[in-house]
Amino acid sequence: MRAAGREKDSTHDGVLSRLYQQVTELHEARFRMDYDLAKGLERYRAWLGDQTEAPAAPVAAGPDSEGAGAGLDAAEDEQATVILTAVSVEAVMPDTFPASGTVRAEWSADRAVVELYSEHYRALVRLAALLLRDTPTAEEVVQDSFIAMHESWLRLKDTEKALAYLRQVVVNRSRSVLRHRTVVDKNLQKPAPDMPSAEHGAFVSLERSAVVAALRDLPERQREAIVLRYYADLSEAEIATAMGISRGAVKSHTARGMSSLRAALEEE
Amino acid sequence: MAGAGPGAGGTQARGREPLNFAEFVRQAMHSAADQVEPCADGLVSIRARILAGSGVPWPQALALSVYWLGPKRKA
Repeated sequence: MRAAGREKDSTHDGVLSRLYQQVTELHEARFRMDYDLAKGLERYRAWLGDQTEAPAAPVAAGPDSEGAGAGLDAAEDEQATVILTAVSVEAVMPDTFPASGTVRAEWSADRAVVELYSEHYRALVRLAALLLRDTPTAEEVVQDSFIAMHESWLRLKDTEKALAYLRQVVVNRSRSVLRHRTVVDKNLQKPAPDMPSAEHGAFVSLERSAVVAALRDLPERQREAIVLRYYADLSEAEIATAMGISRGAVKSHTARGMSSLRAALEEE
Repeated sequence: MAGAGPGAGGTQARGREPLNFAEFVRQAMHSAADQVEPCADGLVSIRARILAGSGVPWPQALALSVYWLGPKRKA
């Protein structure tokens, strides 16, 4: 019985593997390094829009089924349709045939992710990079935040609230990463517990700035308050929301942080 | 948003004109952060992880996200 199950799993894995290979090979030309992501986003937005306006429309071929400048010939398109249909479309895109009543919220969550990604992803990654001094981890933290935002969209339902939520999650997760890093580094008996390890090479360019280097030595709350105030240009109220503290505490952390930062820079 | 915030005051920014300290910090952080360039395929990862979180097997989630949004993630 177990052997039969394993055999079934193995066949399933094989099919999935071939599917992935087929899809990527079929569209190899579209996914080269010079692939225009902006056009991909446009296509995806258009597809989301089409789904909002015409929920009953067939979706197996995704955004390219509208022929919106995808650059595929008819045979390729047909093949793509067959492949995507074969992997159970309703399982892959739950917002395509959802239970009634959840339709719009689900679509809006997808759309919100796309819109907020286009406008704020880069700035959020940079914000997280200033807190973490590590670009790959910063990207992961921001991606986690978008996924959390997507899950919470039913409650948020508003891009302003969603952006505030994204910032809050970025700050909280960055704090968790730094605390975890501190524990790991303590166990490894490294001299500077808050320093990223050698594989975090992407932060080297950030460290070239004396200000960013001095930020490293500040307590985490002061560092967060300063980065949110002077990099993200947020108001005290927005910083208070992002950090989950009062406005008075924001003032205090910012003032102390700036004072320590000035002292550190003047010492150099 | 010229800095009149906490810690504001004159400072000498190594060989440049004295700056308001808050403005100096702002400029330093912006110039450091501007060097950080995220990968172009962040949305592919996000989309794939959202699909995977809703129960879609990872290879399918990734294939579909790449199909819509490309470019292919480099190892």
